[in-house]
Amino acid sequence: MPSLEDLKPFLVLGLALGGVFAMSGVGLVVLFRATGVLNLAYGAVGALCALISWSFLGGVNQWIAYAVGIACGGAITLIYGVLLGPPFAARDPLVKATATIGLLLILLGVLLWVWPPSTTRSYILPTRLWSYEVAGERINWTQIVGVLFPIVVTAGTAIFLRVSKVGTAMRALANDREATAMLGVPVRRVEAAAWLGSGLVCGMTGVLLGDLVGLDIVTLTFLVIPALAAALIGQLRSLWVTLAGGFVIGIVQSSLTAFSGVKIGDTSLAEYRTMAPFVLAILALLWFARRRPEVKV
Amino acid sequence: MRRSLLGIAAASVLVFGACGSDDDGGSADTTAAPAETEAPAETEAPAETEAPADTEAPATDAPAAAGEASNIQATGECGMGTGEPASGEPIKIGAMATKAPTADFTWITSLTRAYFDCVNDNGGINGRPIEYIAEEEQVDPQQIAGLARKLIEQDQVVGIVGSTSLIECAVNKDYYAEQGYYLIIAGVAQACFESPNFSAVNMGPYYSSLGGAQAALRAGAEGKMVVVSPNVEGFDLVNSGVVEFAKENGLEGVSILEDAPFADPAGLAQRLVQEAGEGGGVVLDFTGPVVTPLLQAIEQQGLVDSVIWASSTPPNDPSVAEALGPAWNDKFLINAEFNVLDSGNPDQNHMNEIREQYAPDVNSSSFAQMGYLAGRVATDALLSIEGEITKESVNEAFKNVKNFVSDIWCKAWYFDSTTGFNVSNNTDLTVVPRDGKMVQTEECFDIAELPGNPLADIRAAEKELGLNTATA
Repeated sequence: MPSLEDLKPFLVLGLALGGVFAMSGVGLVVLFRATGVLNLAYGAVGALCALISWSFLGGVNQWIAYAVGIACGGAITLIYGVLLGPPFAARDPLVKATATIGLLLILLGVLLWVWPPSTTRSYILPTRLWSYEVAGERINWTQIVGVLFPIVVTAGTAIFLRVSKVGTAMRALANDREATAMLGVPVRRVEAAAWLGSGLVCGMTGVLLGDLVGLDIVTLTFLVIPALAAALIGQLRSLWVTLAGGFVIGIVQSSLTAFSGVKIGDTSLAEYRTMAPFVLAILALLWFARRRPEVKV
Repeated sequence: MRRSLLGIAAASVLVFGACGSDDDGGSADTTAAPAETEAPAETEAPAETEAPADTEAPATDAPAAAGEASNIQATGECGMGTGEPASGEPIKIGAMATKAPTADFTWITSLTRAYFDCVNDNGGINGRPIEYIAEEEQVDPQQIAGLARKLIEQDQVVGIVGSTSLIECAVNKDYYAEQGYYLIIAGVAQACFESPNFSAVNMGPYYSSLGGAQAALRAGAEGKMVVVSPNVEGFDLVNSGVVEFAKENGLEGVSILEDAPFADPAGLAQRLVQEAGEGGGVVLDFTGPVVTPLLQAIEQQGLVDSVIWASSTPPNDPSVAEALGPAWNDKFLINAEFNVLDSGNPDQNHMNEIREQYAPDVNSSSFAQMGYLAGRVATDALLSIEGEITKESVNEAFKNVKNFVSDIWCKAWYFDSTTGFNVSNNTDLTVVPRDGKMVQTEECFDIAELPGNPLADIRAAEKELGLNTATA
């Protein structure tokens, strides 16, 4: 068993990674609450943002490059939401979620075509260059941003949903789209705002992940999975539970790396760490199902 | 109900994703270590990238017969070097390369094609152009078996050159043997080095990782030697060479198979350092794009000097050196199955020239060298054929190649597999990143002979049959 000293670096790394999962999860939940769409293309949009930023680096000021990448994320989800949101509005959430797999596949194809995976690509955010020693561990500002930013985004989103007109409209949409429309709320515009906001958060996540885990298209695309697990832990409703879920997933996944000496059969426990989001999400779903009140006939 | 369905759909995606993440990094090649690790404790690297002492080759102006000492290609020439485009009946040559999201070996076939294009612009094979049919596969055994049959039975290719695949050797080796084909390839899986019908221009991940471990030991690694490869079927065998080598040298060998690309490179960096212990050695066996985020995470966490870092061939790629900071200068020992890309030697310059003219989209890398060499060897073999060019004559010519000299290799290359194994590229060198470039840091050395590998038998056969002996 690893000692606490052995675990320490993994806890720090897990917090940063978990923060990014949490931020992605919050982006998914906000969009779902406003539009009823579970955007499974979230990771692919993030990957596109990171690679667009990479493409602009060297040509323009780096902050502009990252801003362009993030803006592209907003633009893509906005276009998808404006074009395909209305036709799918009355459909089952399952159909809406499945439709986003189409977007995922298109984006994945474009990514692999434009940025073939055989080429080495990377960028280093300026925040990574500023680092500190905390309790013997080196922590950089990308990791600190990875922890703080999701908290800020979650708090900001919660306040926005509660106090702003658009936020109130989004919450109304989440309850009953038809009734909200009948009350004169410009439903399409509110949904478009949700798509845009979700895309921008997705873009920021992608740019951060590009620095934290690299620019591999498949890795970035499928990092939607822990985010999805965080969103499921939050029951696609609670921003704060989603935030906590993301952090827990990141910490558990990273900490399992330290258990390489603990074996299940011939296999090290560390090798099961990629299953952590899946297992935690299933446990959460089972827990919520257990607490569901019985339906009286 | 709707929420339940959505939960099920989301859970399905999680399962799908979990399966999807279990993919490979598909490194193409690797190298080995000397039986006796007596070399300097520190890897000293010359300031300039000097060619290995025994591979300096004068340019010659015409290809020699493929079965004999061959030529270094003169600048601006390919094949017959007439400067006239070939116009006769095409000679069909086939190939197959993996192109999947996590492993793309089509750079290799692209460079082979580039060389053949140059040959076609220079008189072809006695006036006949080469028609190169390069298929792409997605690591699906059924698809791979089908493509081999398409190439041979439908396209009726007379030879196969430059094929590089994660699993093709194991899938098609019996079929090629039945059909009488002898392939000049770049090998990945061990099956590519254990069939008389294949001969690879590289040495593959097993031997290249071994070479990385040898370099790490010479650099002072002690205690433990950890080897990490993609979590793909067959790579436990790749790791076994390093583990055995470590034991032979009094170290503990640890084998790790890791899903690639890495979802948490910083966590993996910490794990590797903990596994190896202070001063231990770690041999990485991943492609450049996969390993770069890990190297950056190692640097960021200040772990560069915690252990001796080494690697198999694939990161010997200038783009990897450019992505690394000065902290990595001379600290990442990469076993290079071929000479450095800016060696300035004639063949290497020729390859760079061909790549720029015919395949500018392909990066200059070890993969490019493999494709170029496969094309070079095949072309000289085709030019050596006297009489009709048929499937039989072409494969006979390929099988008979020996002592093919190029300054890109440490030693001459041959096809022969008398021992049942074929690792004709079994001597190579070490390079390190330095100030954004890859530079040679060790001269050519023999990959280690171990009880678990056939190198002792192969080298005995080389001596007996006069193979691998010519120098440029």
